Amino acid sequence: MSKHPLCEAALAGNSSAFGAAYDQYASLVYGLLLRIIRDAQDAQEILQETFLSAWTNARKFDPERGSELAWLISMARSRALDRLRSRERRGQREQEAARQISTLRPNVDPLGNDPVAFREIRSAVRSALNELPDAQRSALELAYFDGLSQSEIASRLGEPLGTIKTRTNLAMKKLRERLSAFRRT
Amino acid sequence: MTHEEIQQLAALDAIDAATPEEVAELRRHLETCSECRRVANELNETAALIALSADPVAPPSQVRDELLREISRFDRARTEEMPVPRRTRQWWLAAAAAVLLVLLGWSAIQLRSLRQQERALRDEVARLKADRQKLSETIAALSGGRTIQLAGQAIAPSASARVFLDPSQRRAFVFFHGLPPNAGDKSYQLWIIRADQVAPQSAGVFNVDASGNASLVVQNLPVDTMIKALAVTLEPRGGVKAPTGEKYLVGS
Repeated sequence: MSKHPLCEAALAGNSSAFGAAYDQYASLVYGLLLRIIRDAQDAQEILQETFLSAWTNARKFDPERGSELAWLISMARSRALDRLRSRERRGQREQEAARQISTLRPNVDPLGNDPVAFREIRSAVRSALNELPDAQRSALELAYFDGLSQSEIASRLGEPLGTIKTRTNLAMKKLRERLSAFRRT
Repeated sequence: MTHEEIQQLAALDAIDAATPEEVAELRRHLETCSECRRVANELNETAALIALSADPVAPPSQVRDELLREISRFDRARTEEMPVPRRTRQWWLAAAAAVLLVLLGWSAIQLRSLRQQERALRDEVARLKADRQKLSETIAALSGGRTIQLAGQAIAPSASARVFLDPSQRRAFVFFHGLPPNAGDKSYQLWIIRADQVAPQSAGVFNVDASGNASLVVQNLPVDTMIKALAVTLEPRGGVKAPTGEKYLVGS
């Protein structure tokens, strides 16, 4: 089985193989997008943009810098955070987020389209996150899922900027050690 | 900036939390430092793994349909933009150009692949040298210093541990064996009982694997004449400031 099915399909111009690779990754990326922007329509748009960008920019993928999924997640997350920040700038953050998420829950399929390998990784990542002290996990999640800058987190939590940077660093350091078995680099 | 400071910037950059100035500084350093580049790549991959903590959600099928339609539209547009070959061109000219392009392309791919291999080998050599250096230091530390044996207590009579003190670096390597596996909400904690202090000093928190084994490197060790005894207790996950749990191992 190819290690980079999405990019190989894109480079070969093989749309049906690309569709198969999409099936492998889409629910992981879409789950992340919903967690970040909490809006199904925005999440679907970004999901489509991300995969279209993978099709057109597959040549730019460098396997030495990480896995294909990591590349895809980085593109999707960056787009989602941009959308989140522009929405916040316009003051239009929707309050119906919770309702949207709850209507989406019936679509969550923890078994279908979620290979065993991904389930194992998810379980390990969650354990590793849970093992972090609350203060470190909170600093990390505010940066990762809410896209807050270190200064914004410091101001929100009423802590010095240096403290927040140290907590984020420690959290990343611990996760890097704990999850080494699941990395390709 | 030191390598450690650069790696701290890399941790922030991996989750897009570094400032533009920090990112510029980091990029400059990574261009010339293969070790920090390796750490940065690992941190980027770790950041991607965090995404997998979110529940997977199957997107509606129309997203896939629309995506594949977009792809075919995109490809059609790209094909239409390509110049139509002139029929009057002689066939051999086109064939020669095609052969030349293939050869050029093949050479470029070969060259790129060789360069990548060379870069990977250089990185590997640097990594192995660093590992060898660390290993030599560890062996020197383990063979020269004082050792302390910790014995299992009533709750875990078959458990044991050996502490290798490395006073020159103020550190110790500790290897634990046969401890009962700790539950998810508990951690083992190593304590140093000092000759000059009443309260035990925490020397680190650890979890054991399925066989009950673990290892720990203790840094900033007190001067070894100040170490009166060592003990291991079972505590709430993450450890506590002063021991509260039962002693599993004790040694002096």
